[in-house]
Parts: sequence; C-alpha cells; structure tokens
Amino acid sequence: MFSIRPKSVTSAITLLATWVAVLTAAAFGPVRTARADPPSDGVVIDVKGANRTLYPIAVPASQEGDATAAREVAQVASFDLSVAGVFKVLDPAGFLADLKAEGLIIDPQKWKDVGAFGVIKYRATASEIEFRLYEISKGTTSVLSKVYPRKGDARTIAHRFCNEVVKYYTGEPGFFGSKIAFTAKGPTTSAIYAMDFDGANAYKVSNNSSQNILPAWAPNGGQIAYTSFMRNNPDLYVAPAGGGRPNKLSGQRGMNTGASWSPDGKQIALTLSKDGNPEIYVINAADGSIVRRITNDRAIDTSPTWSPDGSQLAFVSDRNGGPQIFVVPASGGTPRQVSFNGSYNTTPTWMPRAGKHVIAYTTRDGNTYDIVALDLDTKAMTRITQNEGSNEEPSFSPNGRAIAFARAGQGVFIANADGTGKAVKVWSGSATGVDWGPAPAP
Amino acid sequence: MSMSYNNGQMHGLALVGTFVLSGALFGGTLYLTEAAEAAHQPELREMITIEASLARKSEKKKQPQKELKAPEPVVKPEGVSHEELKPPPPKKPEDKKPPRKPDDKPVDIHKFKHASDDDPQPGAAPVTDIGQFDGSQEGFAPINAGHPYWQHLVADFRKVWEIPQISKVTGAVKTCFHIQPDGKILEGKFHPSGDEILDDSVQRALRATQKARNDHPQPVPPEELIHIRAMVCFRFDPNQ
Repeated sequence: MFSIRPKSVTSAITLLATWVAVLTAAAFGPVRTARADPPSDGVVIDVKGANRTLYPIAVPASQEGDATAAREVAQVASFDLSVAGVFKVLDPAGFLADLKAEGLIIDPQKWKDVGAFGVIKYRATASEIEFRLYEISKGTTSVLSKVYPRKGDARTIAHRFCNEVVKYYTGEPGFFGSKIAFTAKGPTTSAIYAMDFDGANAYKVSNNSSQNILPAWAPNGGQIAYTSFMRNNPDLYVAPAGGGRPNKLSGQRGMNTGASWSPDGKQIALTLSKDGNPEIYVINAADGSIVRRITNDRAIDTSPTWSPDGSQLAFVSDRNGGPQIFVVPASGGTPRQVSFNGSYNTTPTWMPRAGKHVIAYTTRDGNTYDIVALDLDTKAMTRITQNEGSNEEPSFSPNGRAIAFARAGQGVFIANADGTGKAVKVWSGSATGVDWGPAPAP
Repeated sequence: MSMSYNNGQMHGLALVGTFVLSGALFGGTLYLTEAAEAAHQPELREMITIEASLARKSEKKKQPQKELKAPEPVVKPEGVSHEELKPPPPKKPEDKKPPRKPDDKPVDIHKFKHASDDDPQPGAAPVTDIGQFDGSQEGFAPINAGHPYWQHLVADFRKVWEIPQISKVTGAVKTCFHIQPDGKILEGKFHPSGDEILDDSVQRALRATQKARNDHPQPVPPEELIHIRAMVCFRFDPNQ
C-alpha cells in the first residue's frame, strides 16, 4: 500500500504548502489569463454554406488618354460582361477610388469596399489600348494584362479583351464579337439582317422585295443560308455573310425551308415537301444534292437542328398529336420524342457545348410562348423566359452560356442560358428566325 | 234542325274562341323558338379555329415555372381537431400477431447492439470535433442547436458571406474574436485557409457583420456571458 511518511513536521508542512500552491495555480491560473490570450479559443461555431453569386466586377472608365475611345471601351466591356452569364458589373456611381490617381493600378481596399472581386483597368492611346485585370484577393498584381495595337475600332478591341477575361475565369472562349442573324418583318416583305451580338452594326443580308426567312449561319461564319420567295417558290439560298448576291442551293418543288448546317459545314439539314408532305432531308452544302432522307411519316416534320458532334438531329413533328421535339440519328433511324411538357413545342436548337446534351425550344404556356431548355441526360428543364411577352425561336451563343430569341413585336433579346437574370434587348423591331453565328476569330 | 244564338251567346263564344286561339299561337311560338335555338348551327365565319390537339379531353398540365421565391414551408397536420364536438376516431383493433412457429428461436438482441457514446471506446480517448456541444476545449454545438443569440450572429454572417459561383474554393477558414458584453465585436485572430478567394470572402463578411453589430450592438444575454470570457471562434465552411 502506498503512503507518505514525513520524517519531520517541517517536511510535512513544506509538502502541504507545495501542494496548496500547485492546486491554487491550477485552479485560478486559466481564469486570470483567459481574456488576454487563452490557451484555447473557447467557443467554435460553424458557419456553413456561402451564398454563391455572380462575380462582382468593376469596369471604371479610364481617365487618361483618348477620352472617346475610353468611354466606348467602358460601355462595350460593361455590356459584354453583364451578358456573359457569370459576372455582375458594378454601378460606377458607387466607386470610391480616385481613378485619375490610380491610373492602371488599383488600391484593393477601395474596390473591396464597393464589393468588387475583380477590376478591369485600361488606357487608350492613339496607337494602342492596354488592359489589366485585377483580382482583389490577389492584391495589386494584375492577373491578366494585354496590349492591343489600334488596328480595329475600340469596340472590337474591347470585345477581344472581354473574351480573354471570360476565358481566364471560366476556361471557355467568350462570344463577344460574334454576330446574330434574324428576319426583320416589314408590312409586306421580310428581310434577312445580321448584326453584332450586342445589336451594333446591323446590316441587310438579303436584297430583294420578297419574303426572306429562317437564316442559318455556316459554321465558318462566312455564309448565311436562308429561304426566299423571290422566285415565288420557297427555295433555299446561300449568300455571303456580309451581304451580296445569293446562290440558289435547293430549289425542289414545294418547301425548301429551315436550313441547319452540320458542324463540319459540309451538309445542310432542311425540310423539303417535294413529295407533298414536309419531311427532313440532308443535302450537300456544296451543290444542294440530296444526301439522304431522314424522316418518312405522314405527319409534318420541320425545323431540323444538328447536335454539336453531328451525330444527331432534333426536329419538330406532330406525329403524336401536337407539335413536339424529336431526336433521330443523323444517319437516319427511328425518331424518339424528347419533349413532353405542354402540347405545343417547336423550333429546337442544340446547345453547342461539348459534353452537354441540352436542347432549347419554344413552348406554349397559356396564351404566350416561352423559351425553355431541356437537358436530355437529366431531363431537367430550365425556364429561360417567363411573364415577359411572347418569346420564340431560340438560338444558343457559341459557348452555350447565352440564348438569343425573338420577342413578338419587340425585337431580339439575349438571356443567360441558365435562366438567371433578365433578358436584354439588343435589337428593336419585329423580328423572327434568330440564329446566333459562330465564335469570333481570336 | 237549325241552331240560333242570341247576341250574348255569340259574344261569349267569340271570347272563348279568342282565348283558345291566343293560347295555341303562344304555345306554338314558344315551342318553335326553343327547337330553333337547339337546331341552330353557327356559320363557318362565326367559328373559332382551334387545334385538334386542344380538343382532346385531357388534364391541364402546368408548364414548369421559374422559382421566383422560396418554397412555402410544409405545414404539418396538427394532432388536435379544431372541431370540438367531433368524436374521436374509433380505435383500431390491434393486429393479431401470428402464432409463433415451433422452429422460431428467440433472437439474442445483444449481438446486434450498436455502440453508444456512453460505451467505452476502443483505442485512444475520443477526439471531439470542432463544433460539438460537450464543453470540450475546442468548443460547443453547431450554433443552430444553441442559444438564439448565436443563431442570430451566424445568420448575420451568412447573410453577407458571398463567394462568386465561378470561383472554386477549398478548405475552411477559422477566425476568432472577442465580443464585449454590450455586443460589440472587437478585432481578433484570422487563421487563413490558404485559399485567397475564400479568405477574402470571409474577411468581407466579418467586416460587414462587425460594422453592422457595432453600429447597432445586441447585448450578450446574461446566461451567455460565460462564453465571451474567451475569444469566440467561427469556422467558415463554404460548402453546406
């Protein structure tokens, strides 16, 4: 049995005093030092789940160099990034930084105070425009820097840098600088127009006083196919994208409508009614000769569109009642219905993103038409428009992040392809048959 | 044989005849009007053109809608009827268990016993995760299980804590600071995660919350004062 046997009373008192001192220190020590610098941090509380938002970015107008170009660059870049689908462009009215003193550099705290995560700075001179992108979390070192000689106009250069910004953040090319073709409806005629995706520089592609409808960009961006009644029959023509004399590509008896170029640009899918009933065919893009017939059904089959890999075609058919979206192998086969919402779904367009199988189309909801996007893999449906007029004929941007469409009586709009945010009008007037062209050359 | 009527009789017969004739005419008109209405067919120009697909008798399906607001909370049915006079539902007869078969042996439930926290743990002493409400050195419960004061503080952080969707962030940030009894938040310690965007986002959230709380302090409740003797620490995990 363990026991302590003091040899003397003094030793016992000494031992007792030592124990008392040790116990006192143990009991009161931590309390005395707790507030100053506690050995442990005390209460730990979990805060889980941050709000995921669009990327707040500031595009302040440059205060030095060519003022006209500076204003234009700020305007173009702000619009580009606001419709990119990933950014929230901050209102310049709230900026705290002294832009003149800052020049091409930044004071991170000033930008942090207005909620910016990124800032674009630039300086335009007569010979060049220099851009810098800053991430506030990385301090005063720019994460992207480009200098462009002023060969093109300021807006073209601004588009190019914004494409670089999108690529920096998402790894994907931007669509700024791409073009949109559409049909502008007049009182008695309709013409094919093309314009920059933001509505600038609109010009007429067709040049006749007849009905011209359903434009389709060639994948290389150099040609536009469209259907024209200029010789009474709805024939398919191909014209230079910049406008010019069109060549008749398909003049079969009856309809030659709804052209869609294959991704390699060698073939065109379209609707022909040469045998009486509208059917889907694939023709040679060089000479218009029929390559193969895709559908053979008593129903009406129209509006073909190629999948990004060229292996499938989506089209509209009323073979099961009302018009619905069907998908069929591009080499031919049995179509399968993919749209089941509502009783009226038309004008499909395939998202051009690799690895994604998404089709956007027009659906009737009550008395109006709206745009929805359907993921063929997950069957998830995203509503792009709602309670904003009657919207039809969607077309994806080259990177699939935005959708252009026509709003009845109002014009051409673009919206985020994930259904977030509000659609932005880029062209005013009566438009139909919207088709977004390929990505611009870098 | 000849019949003759006097003047009064003639007037009487005329009156009766008039009533009979009027009734016959009124009835006939009424009958013909109803029959004509039923037999009436609209002309082609009066008809509305509809699609054959709409003519099918089918249930109206609503198109998918954009989510414009948070979904309504699910209301659980209450256990007590609002009708005072409503008699309670009749008691269901208990299910009769089937008679035990002779080959059914009693199961030894101890074999299936799950270990609980009170059981002795194998190996080393248990390590308590951050956020456990057990009074351990590292802390207390996730705040959603704690005092409303802390719940409100966490809600304030979450309201202002934003990370851009395109920014890929990893890890978690721990930050500690003193809270005064009057509710003001003092400067504290920040333990960076190494992810610049995550650290930056938490610092912004801290700063915004600190400003809001210092402008409008919410005193710490007396029963919670014990927890602010030391620094209060928060761990910001961007994932749910």
